[in-house]
Amino acid sequence: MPTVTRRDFLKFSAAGAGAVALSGLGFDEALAKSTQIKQNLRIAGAKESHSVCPYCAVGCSLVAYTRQSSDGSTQLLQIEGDPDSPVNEGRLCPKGATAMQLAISPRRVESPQYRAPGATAWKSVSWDFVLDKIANNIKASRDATFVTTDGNGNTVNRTEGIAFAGGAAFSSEEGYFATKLMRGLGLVHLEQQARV
Amino acid sequence: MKVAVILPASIVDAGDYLANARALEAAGAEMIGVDGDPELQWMILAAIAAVTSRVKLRAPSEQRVDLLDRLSRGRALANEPAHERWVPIVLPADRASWAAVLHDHEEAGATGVVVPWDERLIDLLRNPEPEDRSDLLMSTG
Repeated sequence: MPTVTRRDFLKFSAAGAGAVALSGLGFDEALAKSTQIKQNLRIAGAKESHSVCPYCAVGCSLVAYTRQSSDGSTQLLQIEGDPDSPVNEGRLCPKGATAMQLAISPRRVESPQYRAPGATAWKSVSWDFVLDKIANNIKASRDATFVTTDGNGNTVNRTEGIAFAGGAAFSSEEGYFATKLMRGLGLVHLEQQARV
Repeated sequence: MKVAVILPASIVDAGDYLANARALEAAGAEMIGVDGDPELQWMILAAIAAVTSRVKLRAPSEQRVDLLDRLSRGRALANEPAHERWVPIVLPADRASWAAVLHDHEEAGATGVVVPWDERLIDLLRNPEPEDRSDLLMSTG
């Protein structure tokens, strides 16, 4: 049995602790890894684009980070609040903070869906088709329900068969324009989902 | 109370004329007829048959009513049905007297009234309640 003096014990203990600190805990290795992580940030080298949140009329500013892939397609990396915006100062509400998911969700429907009268299934159609369809329906409803003169002989020129509800993301200018357009068609039933 | 409307024989703009026929149908008119020369009535009724789907069409005679009946898918009538009684009226001056006239004829047992075309008819048929346009007041502020 070797004899270990008190002095020897302390010497070995100190050396062992030092060795663990330097190599076992791996300060040099950790430093290398952290440097690598810093260089591999998801948005490193990405293009910053400024945009506006699509959800409500507050109009929070967004920063969208995109990068060109080698095949030429643009990849969306991250969307976050714009710290330079006086509107939201970098913050986003929970819904706005998920704007990224709105953009990249595989369940997102990317074209208008149309179900013809009597059909059992929806089918994807073009925007031209849908806009023509809406225009035709507006024209037909307006023709069928336009009142030029009311029962007492007053000129009224109103469309009674169409109602309009403005979207929640309308700005003041869009709200003005939508109202102007609908009044031009003779609509009297106008509403606005103002969320502010 | 049913309402039959007699459109004029003169057509200034075909689009407006046929839009009026469609608007009458949408407003709830029971029957549409045409005034004037029977030969012209057939032509105009055939055009109206093409753009409407529910309203009945008053044919000028029993001759050739079959063709209009097929064109309109069974909506052509040459004579009043035996159990019905239609009363020709002139259009009253305002909504209140329109409601009163309809009420009087209904009390007297008439099936409906036959009235010449007037722009006011669209509103009178769409909104029969006298002066109750609170929906419009609310939406216009």
